[in-house]
Amino acid sequence: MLLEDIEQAVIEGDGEKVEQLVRLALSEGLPASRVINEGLIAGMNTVGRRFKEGEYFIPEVMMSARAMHAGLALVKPLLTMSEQLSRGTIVICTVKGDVHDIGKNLVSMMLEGAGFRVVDIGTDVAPEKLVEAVRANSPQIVAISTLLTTTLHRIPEALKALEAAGLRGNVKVMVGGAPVTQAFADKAGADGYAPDAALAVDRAKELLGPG
Amino acid sequence: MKDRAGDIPVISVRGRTIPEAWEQSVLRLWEEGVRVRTEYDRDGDEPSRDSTMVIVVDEPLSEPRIHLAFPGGIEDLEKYRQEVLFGVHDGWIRPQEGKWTYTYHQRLSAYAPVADLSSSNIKSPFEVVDQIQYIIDKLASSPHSRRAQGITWMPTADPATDDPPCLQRIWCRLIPVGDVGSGSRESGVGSRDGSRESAVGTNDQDNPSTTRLPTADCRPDCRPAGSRLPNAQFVLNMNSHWRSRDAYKAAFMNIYALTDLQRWLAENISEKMKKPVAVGRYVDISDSYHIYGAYFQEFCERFLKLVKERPFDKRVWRTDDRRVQAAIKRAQEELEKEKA
Repeated sequence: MLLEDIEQAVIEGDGEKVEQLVRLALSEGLPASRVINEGLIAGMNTVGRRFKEGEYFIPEVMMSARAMHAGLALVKPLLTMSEQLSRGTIVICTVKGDVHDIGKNLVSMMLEGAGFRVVDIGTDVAPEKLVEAVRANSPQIVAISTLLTTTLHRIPEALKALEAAGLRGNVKVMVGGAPVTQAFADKAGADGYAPDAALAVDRAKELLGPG
Repeated sequence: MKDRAGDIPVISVRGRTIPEAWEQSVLRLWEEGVRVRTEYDRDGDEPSRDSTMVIVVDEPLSEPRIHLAFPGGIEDLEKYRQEVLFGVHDGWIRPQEGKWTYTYHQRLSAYAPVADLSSSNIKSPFEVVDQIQYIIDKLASSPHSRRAQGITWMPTADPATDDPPCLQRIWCRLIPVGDVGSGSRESGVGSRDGSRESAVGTNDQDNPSTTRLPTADCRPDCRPAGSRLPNAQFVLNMNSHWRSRDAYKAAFMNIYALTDLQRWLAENISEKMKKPVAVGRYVDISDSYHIYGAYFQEFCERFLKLVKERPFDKRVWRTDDRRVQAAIKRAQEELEKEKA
């Protein structure tokens, strides 16, 4: 019942309530992994599905994602190494010259909600910084976006930097953002493209294959 | 009368609150807009839907103030509000690094035309003008003035840039309420705008639209708390003029921030005049108000669907909602961190 309440509080985007319920669940001895998987992520999965089906607006998704985060912050320190979120690691950023972060944040939160470990290295990220982050975090996927047509050319630059650093073979690269198209992604040599946050989650799951 | 072929439709909508007015504007644009290509349409996109749009918000501060169909979280809306009002992102004006060439806050509060926007280090030959402070000073000293405006466009440099400002101008005007007679006289007697405008101002005493102004107290039904001060002596009206506007993904956030600027201006004018100033109607005029073809699928599958399936009160949030307040606080904390 408590786990269902946590799930519902995430769906309602009520971070304060999520925190209260998570504290209560932990004090009653529920394992941290169950609180995450059957409460927080279960709630976010429902939100993700509703968003994908056109039943939720973006601010509602963001509110739910923040609520889930509030709960995760309490539970994560209690997880053992083997219980850490393990669907895969994704390094995410916007390209050099682009400081817009709304789309990236939405994708980032949806990916976390789907159980990925997301390393968000921010906006206006130079290729060298991306290379550094990939070396440091050994992700399975790199997700790069831009909102501006004027910084679109930075996406192939980022891919070339990964190539030059000898890292391209270790990671799958997903790209997105308003001016990006499937044709652009193909031409740039990316492994995946998604036109919105919900499909970005699907694409990430596809890229990692079953498991 | 029907629009003739080649004419841009002119649409006018009116709503009590921001979400009501904005939602109507988008729905009317979708129904009545002309189909036309823009430079931002991608291969395979349908032509954009476009119109000239006039949006009137009667009570810009009344709740609910937030429509849920905007592309971000409440934190992003609050950060954008602070970007417009207080310039929290003026530091991102660094075209030499491929970043922004302007913010609305910078153009309005530190206008200084240059001939070249390739670097933020290029100095203007003119003195920097704080047009926001000018609006406050002008209306506080000459409440009848029709010169209280601020512009953003730099004809010297903007046309050559990739992303010139959409907002062109804000215009503000005070209208006296309460003791209408003395208010009208005041606008004639106190004029410092020059003889022609003084004469027009004097004629305004006979203008029904001025003399029939209701007192704040006589319209309690449609002027809820927060919209009008009960003892207001002046009402601040604001118009904003936009060259081009992404109706679906930008206009709501723009209106939310601009109406808060209207509130902030009213408070500052009030403080300077030492007289209560209420927030009046907000009018938002766009030359090209459009929905890009690239958005059509999402627009139909989410926005139109939710407008049909959810009642209005489930498509909006109040700013005093506990969850919204918590998100605003988070945004403020994040901005503090950015600053540090």
